Amino acid sequence: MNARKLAVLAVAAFAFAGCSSLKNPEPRSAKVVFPHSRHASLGCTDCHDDISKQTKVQCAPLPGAAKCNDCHDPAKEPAVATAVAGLRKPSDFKDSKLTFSHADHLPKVNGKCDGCHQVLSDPAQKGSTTPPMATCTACHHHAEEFTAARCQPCHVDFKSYPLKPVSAFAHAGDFKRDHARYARTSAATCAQCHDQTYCAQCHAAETRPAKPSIIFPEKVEADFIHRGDFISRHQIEAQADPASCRRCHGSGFCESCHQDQRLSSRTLGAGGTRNPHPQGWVSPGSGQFHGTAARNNVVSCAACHDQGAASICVTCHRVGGIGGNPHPAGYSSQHPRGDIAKTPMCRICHTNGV
Amino acid sequence: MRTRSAAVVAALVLASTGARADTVDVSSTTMLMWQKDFRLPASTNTSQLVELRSVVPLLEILNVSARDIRNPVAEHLQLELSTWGGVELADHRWQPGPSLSSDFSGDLDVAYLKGDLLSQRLTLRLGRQHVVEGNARMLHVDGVEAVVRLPENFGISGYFGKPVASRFDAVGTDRTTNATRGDYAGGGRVSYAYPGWAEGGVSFAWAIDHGNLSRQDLGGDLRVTPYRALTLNGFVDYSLYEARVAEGNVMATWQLWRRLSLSADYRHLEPDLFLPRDSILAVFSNAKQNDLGGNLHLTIPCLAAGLDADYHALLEPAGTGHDARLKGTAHPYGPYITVGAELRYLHNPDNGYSEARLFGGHQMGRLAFTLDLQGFYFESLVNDHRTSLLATATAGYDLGDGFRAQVSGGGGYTPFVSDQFEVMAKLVYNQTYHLREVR
Repeated sequence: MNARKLAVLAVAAFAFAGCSSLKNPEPRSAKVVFPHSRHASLGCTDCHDDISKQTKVQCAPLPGAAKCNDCHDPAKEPAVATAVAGLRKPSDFKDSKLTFSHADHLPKVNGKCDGCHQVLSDPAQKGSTTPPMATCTACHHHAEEFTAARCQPCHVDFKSYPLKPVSAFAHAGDFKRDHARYARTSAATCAQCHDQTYCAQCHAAETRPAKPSIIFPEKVEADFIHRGDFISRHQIEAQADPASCRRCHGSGFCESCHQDQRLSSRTLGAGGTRNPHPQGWVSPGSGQFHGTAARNNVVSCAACHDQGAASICVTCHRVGGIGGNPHPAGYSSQHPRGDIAKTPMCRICHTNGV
Repeated sequence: MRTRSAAVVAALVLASTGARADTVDVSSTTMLMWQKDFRLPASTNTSQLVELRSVVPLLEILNVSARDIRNPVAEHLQLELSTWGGVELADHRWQPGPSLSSDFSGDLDVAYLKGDLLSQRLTLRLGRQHVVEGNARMLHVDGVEAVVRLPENFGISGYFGKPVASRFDAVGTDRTTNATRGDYAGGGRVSYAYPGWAEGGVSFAWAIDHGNLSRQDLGGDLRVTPYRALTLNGFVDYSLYEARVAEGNVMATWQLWRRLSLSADYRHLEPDLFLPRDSILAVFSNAKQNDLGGNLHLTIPCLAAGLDADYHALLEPAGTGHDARLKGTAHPYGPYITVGAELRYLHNPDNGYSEARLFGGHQMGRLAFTLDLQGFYFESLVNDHRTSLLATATAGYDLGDGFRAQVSGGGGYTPFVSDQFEVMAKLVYNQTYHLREVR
């Protein structure tokens, strides 16, 4: 089975797995929702008696049938017994994706649950009963955390929530430039909203079919690096920040295009090469000398000339060649001559091992 | 190949066991494009013109994300898949590589299974993925990553795999285009977090290429919040092989008040250390590059507007450059109307460009329009021209049930193509299915 067929099979299997999960979901209406309004005379902790000890939000401690039976006799109230049997169970809920401790918070609100829980579940209540985030931000100032992308430790997983439009979560400043700083230290923070399928829209440079600004021309607010006529300006961007290119693109990426545009040394003798170098490129002291350019930005050279032993540089700069010693000052202090014999790359020029 | 086979087997096992996901996101994008690609003439010394070719690629991009897949082995089991396939209906595109050997192409961008084991102490991710944390440099790898959560907010993570290469003719090159060149790459990170105050780690990255060391770096990262409105970030990546710092940066972000935040940063780079150590070009330079600058972000509530101003001085080996940007976005008549403008000035010691951009969008019920105008003025001649001007317009219609249709057209002139024109039709399907209620 070839790789392409495997990929198609994988897609089909994944799709089947996804579809099978969608068949016959249990409708919420089939479950009985606990009527809080009929029990208003009780205190919250009469039923939720362990809540003051809960350090996590999870559904397991929800009161069960035994708690109902403290007041209701199933034998005398069969309707209640039926309702209790049909109550939504903890397994009907996902555990919360928030880090929240009732044990910590209840003393701060003097045990008044309704400070946060202003809407309780009830058969007539169709909307969400989970306290909204505004309840949290009424005490917790959120702007600083939002700006600095400090979602943790409160939020554990945003993806499970139906989020507001993404525009409400636009990352401030030059986030295109700065986002790596956050991701390096806490990728988990990014992962609360963004799966890697999202990251791959820009970061899968080896495999994507087109650049993001081509696929998403409608995202006019986005800061796509390669938007518009990037070809005309790419060498300027590459000089300003050579490392920025090399974070995503290896030499093969640059050369694959340069070769097709007859700009690569690989096309020498194959239909002609369009020499991109200025006059004086091989003349020391010309002001355009290639040695100076290579010292200043060798990453640009690698865009066409990174072919190992077949590199055009070797022709002149091998030991005994007309190009002389190409190493920068201080190179020998980091690389003793003994390394030559051990390093195949060195032996391309130092053919005799010294 | 083994990795792909394992992914297929895992998928079949999941499907056959009736594994059910609580949340399934499906996204499908079908695109048909028509555009003119150029080929440069063979020589600058002749009167040969730039050759134009019509390219008509048909692309299908599929994303599937299934979370909280119920299964007997792992908690929070998650499947992430991003894949695409395409066919060239006319000439082959040259971007991002030379002519493909076949009219058909396709690849996997991401395909992994992730789950928690040992009461969420261990998270495993298996398949094609990105490694994000520490000094991994967003490594695209076919492999495995493991994250272990230790007591007292300590953690250890490790990864190992084969750097992704275009194995399906996607780029059409016989060479790897991965920034991390190598047969195998691995690394890890030891981290510590003091919730709400600090988090950081020490990381290691390693890659080997045909038996030779391609990369061997030690990294350190730290984020500190000494008080609520101030965040300090720092990162350093040190090449153990060259005994030099490849990259170091520090940044301070200060939220002066709710509507205004400021940041200042300094970065040191030694760009040659971003080349593989087994590259012949790795021995030619040890140049250093620094940049220093900051950013201001201002929110103007009455216009629902945001303003960003950035400036960085580029301290390059050949002299000092400047990178300045001003961008404003506003929603003056409600959230459904967007207008924005962007100015940029990038100047290296021997070349540079200025950019002006206007953009906007209007959503009217199911209809949405956008317009984008972008112009450049180049300090040095590019193919004997100094200017580039492109306009792109889109019109989209929400068909309902998660479907959206869109057409876009773009045109203008660039230093390489005097009358550029391209059109695209796109059909997008986005749907999220929730099976259980989130409390």
